[in-house]
Amino acid sequence: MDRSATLTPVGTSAENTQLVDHAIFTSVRSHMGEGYRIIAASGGIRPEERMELTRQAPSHGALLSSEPDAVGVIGFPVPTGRYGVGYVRHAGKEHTSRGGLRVHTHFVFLNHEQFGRFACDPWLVAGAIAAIDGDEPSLKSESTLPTLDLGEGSTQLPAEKAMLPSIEAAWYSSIIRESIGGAKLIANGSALSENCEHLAWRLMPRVLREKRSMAIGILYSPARGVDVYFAADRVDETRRAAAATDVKWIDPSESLPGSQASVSPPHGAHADSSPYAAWFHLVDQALAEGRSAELVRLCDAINADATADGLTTTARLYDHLNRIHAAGRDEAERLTARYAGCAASCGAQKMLLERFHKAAEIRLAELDAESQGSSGGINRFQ
Amino acid sequence: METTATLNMKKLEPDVCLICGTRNPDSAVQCGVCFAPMAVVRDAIAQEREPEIVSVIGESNVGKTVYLGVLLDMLAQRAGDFKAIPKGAYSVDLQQTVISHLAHRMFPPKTPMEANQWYWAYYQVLHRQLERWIDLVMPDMAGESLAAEVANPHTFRVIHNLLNKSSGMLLLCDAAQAADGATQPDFFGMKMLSYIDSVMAVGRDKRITTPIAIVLCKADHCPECFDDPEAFVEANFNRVWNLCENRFENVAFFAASVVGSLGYAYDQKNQEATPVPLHTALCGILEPFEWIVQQL
Repeated sequence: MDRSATLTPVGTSAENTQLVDHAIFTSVRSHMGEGYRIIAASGGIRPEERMELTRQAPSHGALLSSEPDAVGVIGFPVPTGRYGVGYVRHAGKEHTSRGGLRVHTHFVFLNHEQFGRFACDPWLVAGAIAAIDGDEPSLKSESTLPTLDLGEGSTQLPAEKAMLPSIEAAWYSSIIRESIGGAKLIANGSALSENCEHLAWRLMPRVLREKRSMAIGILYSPARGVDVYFAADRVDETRRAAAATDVKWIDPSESLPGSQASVSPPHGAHADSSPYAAWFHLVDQALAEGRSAELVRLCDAINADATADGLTTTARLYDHLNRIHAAGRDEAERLTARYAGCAASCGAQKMLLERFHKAAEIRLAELDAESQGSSGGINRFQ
Repeated sequence: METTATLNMKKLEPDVCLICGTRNPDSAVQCGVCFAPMAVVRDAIAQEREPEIVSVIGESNVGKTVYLGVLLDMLAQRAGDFKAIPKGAYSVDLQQTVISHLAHRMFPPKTPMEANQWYWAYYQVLHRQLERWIDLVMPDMAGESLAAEVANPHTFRVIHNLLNKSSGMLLLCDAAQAADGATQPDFFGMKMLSYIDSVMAVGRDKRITTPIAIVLCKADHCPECFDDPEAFVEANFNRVWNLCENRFENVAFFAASVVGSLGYAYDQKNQEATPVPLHTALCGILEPFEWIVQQL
């Protein structure tokens, strides 16, 4: 099954527009030549971006499925600081008639703010491209294209998964562990639920998504050096291509890295000795309790500081926010004092701190009321 | 006294890529940086000879894969004065793909741009007249990757390294298009030679000595180029001709053809015509290679 085919088209609105540079990479015959190349591009694409695009662009036979409606998504940071997203699909027969279908990729380049409006999610960006392109991919060879209006953006969450099978939860957990550690990985989600790859991507802190390349629906090629490759089909072939490389293979049918970690160690104690143990514990617990959507929202808000210290602080804050609702006076006062002058190092911490201060205020008021109520009782008793 | 080849052999290590010099894990099948098969260097060590790299270059759809596949098959069948032994099964894949497709009246599939999917052939070739064994490495590069590298150098590092290490090159040019008046083959050839000029980086007052065979492909469309390939190049690839004269010392011109007659299968529904190679009639395939070998 072609997993990347389930893109969500993103609507555009005239009010809030985002103009982005874009390019089309495919194979057509023109007076300038033939074969796979950039056939059209907007003026703002820089030479370094052209080079990276050409290195990353899928060429002949690169879509995993040979069906005419097969699609793929590729995302990669470029040295200019922008993030490139390619929406890959077939566009009729290859003109040289040497077999197979023409592979067509529409690339867009988004700056930090523009990519943020799509939650740093290449699936959502590709959905926006798909909505604009419609059924007929452009094969016009033009030297300069106008910039593309990607609309207002979308931070839509992947389809919520209430209670995950433990093997799937462990698969997500392994992907997060390896990608946070900086490893290149291939995640085989072919036997798991639909859209699991999309959710896996969104379970990574947003600031890391901006720096990681990804691909789905296209043939694995070590030449691309993709950080997170989702093997949705032709798994054995992918495995052979990745053999004898240092790419981590994450497969639910095999022992998953980090999956042996305990889900419920006592507070403050983590079976995992990794510097990210507190964060991994939070992730494991949230997945085990079916709170994947909540976890995605938290990850979306981590727009900076995904260091071990930063994520540990966020995880502890999240834990303390949960605990403050039922905390006793001593603990509530201790936690309130702890976070009194605390400065947030990312959006998630800011959001959690605001919630924490409100929750702490409410809790302390409740405790005051309880204490007044109980002292009132004593008075009545007296 | 140690020969140059023996001296160079000391530099070869089984885990160091022959093309880009990157150290790879012992178990690596391909170089992690340029994707050349590591078997090439391991086989070279076993042969105790440093191999010569001969690159077949040219525009997309000019016929590099077909030319190289047919050439290797001819060598394997002891054509001319050659005897050739493939070093490893991976070396046979290209010729098998090309010959089996042509036998089924199809052109072989396009070579993908992804370097890890290119075919590499490593052959031990004996030229019986010269009485000399040569180890030849011949990669089948995608024309699109070559064009991208020429347009923006260092896009594909493997191409830069390969051309820099090449002992000889076969530059394939589309004679059929040029004979029809198209300027694109001439411009591409010029860009390619200009790129080679910058890669080889010899002084302005010196000319490049690496042997380059300019091969006019699809010559069956314009048989006149068999009579005098050099005159054909001068007339139809004048920019290439001039650049060769100015910058390259060791250039020879050839015409080649693989397909005897071409039919067209017409798909009425989609209004598409597919060229069908009805039979092969090999002509001028071996000569450019033979010339390169003589120059090594």
